[in-house]
Amino acid sequence: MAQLNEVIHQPVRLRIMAILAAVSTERQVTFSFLKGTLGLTDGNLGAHLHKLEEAGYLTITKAFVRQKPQTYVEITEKGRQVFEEHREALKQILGDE
Amino acid sequence: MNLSHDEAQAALNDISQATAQTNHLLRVWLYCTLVCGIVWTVAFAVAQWQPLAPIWSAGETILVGVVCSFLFAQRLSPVVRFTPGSRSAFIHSRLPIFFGVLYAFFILWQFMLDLTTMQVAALWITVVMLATITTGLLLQQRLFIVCGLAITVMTALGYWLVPTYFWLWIAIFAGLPLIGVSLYLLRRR
Repeated sequence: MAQLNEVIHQPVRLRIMAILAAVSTERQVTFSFLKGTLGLTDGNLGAHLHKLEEAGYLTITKAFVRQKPQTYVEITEKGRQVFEEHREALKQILGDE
Repeated sequence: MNLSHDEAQAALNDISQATAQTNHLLRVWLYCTLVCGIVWTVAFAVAQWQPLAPIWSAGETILVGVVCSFLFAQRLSPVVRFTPGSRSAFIHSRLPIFFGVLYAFFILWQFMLDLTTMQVAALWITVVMLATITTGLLLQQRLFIVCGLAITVMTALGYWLVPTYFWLWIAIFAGLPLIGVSLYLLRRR
């Protein structure tokens, strides 16, 4: 039986994981894309990303692109598995009822 | 952790919405294919009844479609990148070079060989489809391979079987499929 994940289930973090999981493997999204899509401030988004990074569900990479700092976020394999399991657990709740 | 039915449904709805938003953005390349399809369809349909002016030779018409779509893609700022050092990043860094070399060779062949306008068009379309099929093989995208093969076959059939209506044939069987596939995938969640 799939297990719900408390770290992921927080609404903002759930949407972050959904966005990252929708991106195919070996791809990173920009911090600004996440910020724009989720409508969050830098600090708010940063805090959620840090939480997910601590859990090992994503990696954060900082780079310079055309001499401008850019932050990229990528879901890890562990994060992808945990997210899929969480989604499955949500579906099971609906199925059970 | 216990969730109610409504909470679980709300969470799944959030996931679906975020996924759809992301997919929509990642499919920006489909707009490029759409632009290319529109240019090919209109230009070649017109060419059936209004021969292409010298400045608008078949090769340049096809190239316009490809370049327009490339410029369109450039304007839509990328929000994703391939993980540095990954296999995908390597392949995507080499693909533009491959396309450039392929098209350069074709332009060279155009000058070396005495080709008719129809031959130039057929060759250009099949060269673009060769690039499409190769991309599909490298990126493991079956749709690229199937579309590339289908358009190649239809172009060849039109060249040999209906040369009188070749321009209209490729407008329908090369241009319209690009439009159709693009719209279908853009509308898919």
